[in-house]
Amino acid sequence: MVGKNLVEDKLDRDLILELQAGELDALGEIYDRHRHLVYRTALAITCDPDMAADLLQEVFLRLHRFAERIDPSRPLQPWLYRMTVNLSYTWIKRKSRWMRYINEMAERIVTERRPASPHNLAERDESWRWVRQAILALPVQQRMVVVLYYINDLSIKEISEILEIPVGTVKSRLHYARKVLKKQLGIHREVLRTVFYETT
Amino acid sequence: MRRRDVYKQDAFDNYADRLLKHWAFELPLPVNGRARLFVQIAQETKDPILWLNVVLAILRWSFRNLILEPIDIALQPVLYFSDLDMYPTYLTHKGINQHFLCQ
Repeated sequence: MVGKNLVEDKLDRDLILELQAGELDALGEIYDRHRHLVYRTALAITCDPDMAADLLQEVFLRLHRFAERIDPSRPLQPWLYRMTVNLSYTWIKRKSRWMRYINEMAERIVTERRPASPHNLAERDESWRWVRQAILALPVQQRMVVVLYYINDLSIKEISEILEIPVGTVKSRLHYARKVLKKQLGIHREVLRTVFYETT
Repeated sequence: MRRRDVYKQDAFDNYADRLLKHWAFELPLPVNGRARLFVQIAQETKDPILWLNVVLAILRWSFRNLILEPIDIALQPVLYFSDLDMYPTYLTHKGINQHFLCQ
């Protein structure tokens, strides 16, 4: 695992150097390699597939725009995580509650009329909707920690470095987030477990 | 980057870990993302000066018409009349001239 990471870091470094030299193919290569990481992080924080797709574009646009400022000797993933989390946070803060409510209403109306896409199918599934609601019940700061910890498998220390907060703060946010998740998921735990085992 | 230390690992932690991961990996990635990215970059690099000039012109116009002008209009009586009224007559330009001429 460590060997694999070292190889990937080395390749990332080479690609960054190529990007700094103005080669767009290098950006395409970086995009293909890290798009899953960026998209899933953005999606889990915003809970909005369309917005996550836009954020995915925005993160790599910024990578292209600010390529000169990136240190090739350091791993790229923390930069990508930081940019994704910051942009997602900004988007959530900008989007007011009433706008969210209107969008959800509009989404429901449109979803009833348009043909089912993979996104819609996943969202329509009652079990996943509960998971989405449980995530949305978390305050944004806690949600970011939960996403980085559970979905991206980052350590407490790595999260503290990405979010630029002390380790203790990460632990406390995780602690309170787990309480909320327990409460939110607890009621539907049996249902979710059934669905979970059916799909695995 | 993989999790190396675990803060707390109980049954719920394992459950949440697997459930959230499963949920996040369920949705497919957007299609043609790479092509869209290159189109956006091409647009950005095509006319950067024109785009910047338009933004600067809008900012300049907004600052002048929406901020400076209303402030200027609102403060005009204060700036040009009130201060004059506060001073004695002989300290205004007209007053000073008259004061020295009389002497």
